[in-house]
Formats: sequence, C-alpha cells, structure tokens
Amino acid sequence: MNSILFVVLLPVLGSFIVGIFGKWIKKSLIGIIACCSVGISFLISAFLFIKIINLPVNLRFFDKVFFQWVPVGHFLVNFGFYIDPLSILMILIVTGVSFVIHLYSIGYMKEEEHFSRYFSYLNLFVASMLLLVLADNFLLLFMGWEAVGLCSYLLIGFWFHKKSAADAGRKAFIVNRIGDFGFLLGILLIYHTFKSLNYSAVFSQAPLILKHDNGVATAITLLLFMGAVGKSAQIPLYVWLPDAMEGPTPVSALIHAATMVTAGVYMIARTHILYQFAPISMEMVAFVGIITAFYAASIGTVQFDIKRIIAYSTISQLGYMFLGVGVAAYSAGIFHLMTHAFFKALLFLCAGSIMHACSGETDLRKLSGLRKYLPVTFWTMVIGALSLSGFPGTAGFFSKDDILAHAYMAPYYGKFLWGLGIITAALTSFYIFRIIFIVFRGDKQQGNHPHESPKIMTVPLIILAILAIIGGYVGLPELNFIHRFLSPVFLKTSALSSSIELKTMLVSFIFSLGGIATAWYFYIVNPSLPGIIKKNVAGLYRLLLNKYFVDEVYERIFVLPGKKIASFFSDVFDTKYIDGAVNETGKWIKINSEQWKKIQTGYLRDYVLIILIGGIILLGFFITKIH
Amino acid sequence: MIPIKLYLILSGVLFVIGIGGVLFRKNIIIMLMSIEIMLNAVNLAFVSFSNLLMLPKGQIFVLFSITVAAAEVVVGLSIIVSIFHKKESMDADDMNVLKG
Amino acid sequence: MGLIIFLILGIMAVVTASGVVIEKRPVYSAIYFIVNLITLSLIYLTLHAEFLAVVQVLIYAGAVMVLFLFMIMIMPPVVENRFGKINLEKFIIIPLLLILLFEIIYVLYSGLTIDIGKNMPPLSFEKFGGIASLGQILFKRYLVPFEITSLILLVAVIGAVYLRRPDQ
Repeated sequence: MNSILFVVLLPVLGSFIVGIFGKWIKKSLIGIIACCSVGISFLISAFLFIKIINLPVNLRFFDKVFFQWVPVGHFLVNFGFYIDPLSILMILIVTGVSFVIHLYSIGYMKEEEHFSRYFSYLNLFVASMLLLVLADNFLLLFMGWEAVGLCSYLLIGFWFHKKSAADAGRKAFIVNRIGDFGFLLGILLIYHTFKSLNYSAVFSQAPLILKHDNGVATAITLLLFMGAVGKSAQIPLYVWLPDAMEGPTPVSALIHAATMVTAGVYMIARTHILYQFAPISMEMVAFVGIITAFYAASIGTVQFDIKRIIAYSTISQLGYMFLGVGVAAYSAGIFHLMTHAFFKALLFLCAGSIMHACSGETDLRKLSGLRKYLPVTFWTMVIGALSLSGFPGTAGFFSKDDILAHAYMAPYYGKFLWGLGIITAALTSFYIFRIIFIVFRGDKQQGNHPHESPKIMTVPLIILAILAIIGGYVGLPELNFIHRFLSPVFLKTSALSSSIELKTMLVSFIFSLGGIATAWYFYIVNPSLPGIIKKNVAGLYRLLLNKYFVDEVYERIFVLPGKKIASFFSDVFDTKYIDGAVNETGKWIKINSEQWKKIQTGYLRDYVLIILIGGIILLGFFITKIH
Repeated sequence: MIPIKLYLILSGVLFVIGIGGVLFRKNIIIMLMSIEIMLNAVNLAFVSFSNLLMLPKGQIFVLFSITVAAAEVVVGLSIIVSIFHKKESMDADDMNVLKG
Repeated sequence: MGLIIFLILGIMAVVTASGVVIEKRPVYSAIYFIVNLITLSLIYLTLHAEFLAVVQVLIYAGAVMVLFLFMIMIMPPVVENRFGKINLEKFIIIPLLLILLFEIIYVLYSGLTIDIGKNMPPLSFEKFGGIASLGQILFKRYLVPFEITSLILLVAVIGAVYLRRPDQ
C-alpha cells in the first residue's frame, strides 16, 4: 500500500519537470513525460484496485500515515492517505480519465506556444485532485480542494491575454471563495466539535456526539455543502462554470466535467456519516441538486455555444449526483459520477474535435453538415449523447436510473424529486441531440474546410466512447458490482425493489426518447418550427437565452455595490483617512525629532554613560523585585 | 574552601573598573582594552558559577566568549586603523560624526 | 592557605586592571593588561578550570595582546588630554560607578542566599575542568555552536581584510 504515495508524487514530479525545464525540452518529450507520469500513476492505481478487490470485504480499509504534517500542541494533523473502496475507485477514475485527456491534449494543443505551461498545470491538477481524494483528514482535503481550485483558475485563464479568459478565471476563483469560506468554517466547526480533523476519529465519534445534537450536525453539513455548492457549481454558485469554458477544451473536459467539479459529490459521500445525523441537510442537498439539474438543463436547450451547452449539461448532471447523495443513495451518486466522467469527457473532447476541425468555431448557427468530414467524432459523439440521455444499454442509462429510482423511494417528496428528474432527462436528451442534429446533419457551410482530427485525438475519443457504453455494466441492476464494492464504505443505503426500478426505468426511457424525438422533429423534419415557437413564447425564450438573467442580477446585487464600496474605500477613505493618518504621524515625528536629536551628542562617552545609567536602573529594579 | 562570593565580587569590581576605563579614557585603544577587561570580568563570573554548580557548561560558554572576543578585537582594531587613517587621531572625542 | 592565595591574586587583578585604566602611556597599559590576564588565569586555576587557564594565556595574553601591542607601536604616540573635558562629568561618573558596584554586591549578598551547589551531586575535581570532560561536551552537545564560532572567526578575518583593503 506504500505505493499509493507514488500515485500522487508522479504527477507532481511530472509537473515540476515540465514546468521548470519545459523551455529546453522538445514538445514531443513534454507530452511523453506528462502522459507517462499520469499513466504510471494510473497503472499503480489499477494495481492497488486489484489488490483491494482480492482482500476480504472488511479488510479493505487502510489509513496510511506518512508523517506528522502540523503538530502544534494538541492540534495534530497527519499527512496520510485514506484508502478504501471509495477512494480507490475515485483515483482510478481520476487517473484514467486524466490519462486519456492528456493524450488528447497532445494533439489538441500541438500549435500552442506555451505547451509546457499547459502540461505543467494539468499534471499539477491531477496531483491535487488525487490529494483531495486520498486525504485522510479534513485539512489535507481542504489543501487538495484549494489546489484544484488554483489549477482550475490557472487553466481557465490559460490564454490570459484574452480579457474574457482572464475575467472567467477570476470569476471562478472568487465564486469558489464564497463556497470555500463556508467549507473552512465547516472544518473549524468539526474541529471544535470533535477535537480532531482525522476522518477515522471524527467518524467514529460522530454517532456519540451528534446523536443528541442535531443542530451541530446540521450546521457542519450545511457549511460543508456550501463548499460543495461552490466547487460543484450548484445553485446559487454555479455561475462560474459556463464562463470557465474560456479555457482550453481538454481542460473543460478534465476539470470542469470529469473530475474537479465532482469533488463536492465525493466530499458529501465521504462525510455521509455526518449527513446521516442531519436530515435537513440531506433534504437541502437533494433539493438543490434536482432544482439545479432542471434549471441548468432548461438553459441548455436554447444556448448556441456548443461548449456552453455541454457546461450547462455538466451542471445539470452534477445536480443529479447531488440528488443521489441527497437521498442517501451514495453508491448511485458515485456511480453516476463515474459514468458522467466518461461520457461528459467524451462530449467535451468531441466538441474540441469539432472546434479543431472548424478553426475554433463553437457557434451552433455557423456549424452544420460535418458528419461526412468527421466520421469518428460523429459516431463517438452520438454514443456520448446517447449515454448522457440515458438510452438503454449505455452507461448513463444505468447510473441515472439508479439515482431516479432511489429518489422515487426517498422519504421526503420522493415523487416530486423523481418527476422533476424525469422532465430534466427529457430536456437533457433534447438539448444534446439538438447539437448533434444541427452540427452533423444538413449541408456544409461555406468557407470551412473541416478535417478529421489526428489519431492522437481520435483514439482517446474511441476509448472514452467504449467506456461510456460498458462503464454502466458494473452497475447492472441485479448484479450491481459497484454497489456491492462501495457498500462497506457507506453506513446504510436504501434497498430497491426491482419492480420499482423497472418501472422508473421504463418511464425515464420514454421521456428521454421523447426528448430525442422532439429534437429530431424540430431540427430535421421541420426546421422552421423552432422559429415559430420562439416567436410565440418570446418572453420565456429570452429568459432562457439570457440564463434567467442571473448573471445580471448578481452583477446588480453583489458586484456593483461591491465596486462602489471598494471605490469609496480606495478613493475617499484611503486617501483621506489612512494616508492622512500616515502623513500626519510622519509630520508630527519630524517636528518632534528636531528637538530630540539634540540628545545625540556624537560623543562615544555620553552613549556609554547613558547605557551605564540604564544598567544601574535595571539592576535597581531587579533588587526591588528580590524583596 | 574560598567562598564563591568573593570571586563574584572580584568579578564585579573588575567590571566596574572596565566601565570606568571606557568612560574616562579618550584613547580608543585603551577603551577597547577596557572593554576586554569587562569581558574578562564576566568570564570570571561564568567560571565561578560553573564551579559552584559543578556544570562544565559555564566553561564552554567562556570558551565561546573568548573566541568572540578575539574576533571582536580583530575587527575593532582594523576599524581603528581605518579611522586613524581618515582622522589622523586616536581620540574618541574627535569621532563625533553621529552628532544630531 | 587558599584564601591567602586568592586574596593576593584578587588584589593583583584589581591593581593591574586599575593600571590599565589609569596609566598614561598605552604600552604600559597593555603590559598591565597582560599581567591582569595572567592573574586571571591563575584565578581560573583555583577554580579548577585548568583548560580555560591555559586558553586564557594562549589566546588573550599570547594572541590578542600581541595584536594590541602591534597596533600601539604602529600608531604614532598620541598626546592624550585625558581629563580634558571630563572634569565636570567626573563628579557624576564616579558616584554612578560606586552605585553600580554597590548594587552588584548587594545582589550577591541578598539574592544569592541559597547555595545552589548543595543539591548537585558531587563530581570529582580531576574530571571537572580537564580537557577530556570539556571535549566530551564541546564535541557532542555543543558541536553546532562550536562550528559556528569557527564561522565567526572566518567572518572576522574577512572583515578585517576588507576594512584594510588598498584604497580604490
């Protein structure tokens, strides 16, 4: 189990080598180093995974402490990794998807001038994410949490000379700060309550301490959830994720779809023991999740930027995951996290491939008829879209229905959660097939010379496409391997009767098929229809197109007053009072020192005399103290 | 057995004589020598306490203090030479550029 | 017997130290100082600090004072207006010095009433101040400070050379 350290260390090493010596290394070698570091760490993870599987179920937990990280009095935090089925599955997903996306990046970023900077950030991100997942205490988790945020900021603003990219990076960072503020408060409250930050210590004490004190449990879990809302882009802190699409597309695929944004889901699954004692927080998580899912999906139906649509789709799918963990279906949530990582990374990479082919064009209105030119991209994207809409036989089908079935069984408003989830599923399949029909069908537009991407980019697409299909079969309803693998981690998960599962499956299948059919009717059979609808419900359309005006509202409520206060402090308060105080003090001292400087006679003897007098006084004081 | 206090008093007397030298004399070399006398007085106190407590640590301290004193003399004398070359004087009262 | 030796040595130390301060000619001051140092090293012997006594003579009397003498000889003889400006201050300084001395003695006689040495386990005197016991501590417990002093010496040498470098 010691080799777990290398899983994290290798990407760090890769990041440093590429970052420091990148200037003198050839691009091809940079790509090899970056890919190898992640690839080897994936192999080690896989090796550990097999090792864990071969162990008896109750022996699959390790707390590997490497050294004492912060020993301050009674406050002791270790640098240690917590290895259990949940974290091992997560590192497998993270390293696996990262490796594929690293491969893709080599092709996608080939023309990029700052090739080494890109890979250095990307490797650092992988290391931080692994740290987040493997941490055995809340402080280390927080460190990983912040480190992935930093990498996300760096990569969103990768093309920082573009104002929109720099702004988007800042926005992501600031919005995340709000969430992290709550998260940090939650950690402090955990320390206050349990006198420790270690997972094992906290979770073992939780039943004793929290049983009689639901308020504390609710406070802790809500604060932690605030962090999750920021990082995983849920209402109301989701606004940064669509803008994060300013970064390179593989980054969107890796960080803003497959891994980092799922950290909130992972964190809640990890701390589910605390959530068990806070039913209010659980309801909150479920509701925020489902409302975000519906809300983001509705925005996604009318947008024109491919990447933005997929970003809203990500927010929506993250909402599903939160719904899953919110109704205590943790393994279902993690299962959806995994399948989502596959198909959403695939969709983003396909979008990247389209951009690559059409010189960076992402506007749906300017793309069409690409099927002939991008056959691989087309077929893989169709697979990804089917998986996203939950078409039977694909990965998304199993995981989404697992969540929806659990939501149906939920003790609080189960039917409502389920109903909204089903509608969202229909919207989901509508907006994703809208992209497919518009981009790939019809006639090629003038001026573009599309070309299929090179092998280094299509192979990752194919790998992910395969995963987006077979990834779901680990969670086949009756066998449910993933559920059995994860269940020792979780206290209790509600059992499902297969008749309900079958029923919900059937309904959601009908709805998603309905979504696809609608998209097909709107954009293939009767292309004038969307325009007519647009005119008839112009108000709703404008509302959706402008994303419910949330950005504008935030701008009015938070940003503008903030700017006004800041400008008051910088222009008036700072110049008048702070600078004034400093200047006045300086003037006062100058006037006084004119008098005091006469003490400095310049004669050595006088200084010695003063020292002597001082010594005599000190000694005299000492004498009076003796008695 | 000689009472240890006598040693300490001797150390005090030497220290006061050293201060007197620094205060009364104007020749900067003599001032430096007086400082050395003060250092030696402190060393004597160290050795006395080391004997009183039967701890060799005190003597180690004196060893270090002798080393530092040697270093101090080297630097101090070279500063004196530099000043002498500039001012053509060894009188401490001539060195009053710090006057405010 | 021990008391008599100590008294002789103590009086000699005080006299020679006063000689350093009072003597007009710098060379004589320096020679007084050498005698003072040797007396002190003899006092160290009575305190069972044999190694220190030797070091005192070697480094202070041997090296440092030779440096002083060289300096005095290199410099032209200076006419020192010893009490020129000080006449007025003399009346402040001498009482202050006496107060300081009084305070030191007072502290010794009132503050040091407890005999700390009583609680210590007796140690054989042969081992106490010898090279062996000092070396044991110096090279084990105080190895790092010891190495640092060597650095200080190096810095002092470099500093001295730099200060007296040929003018640019």
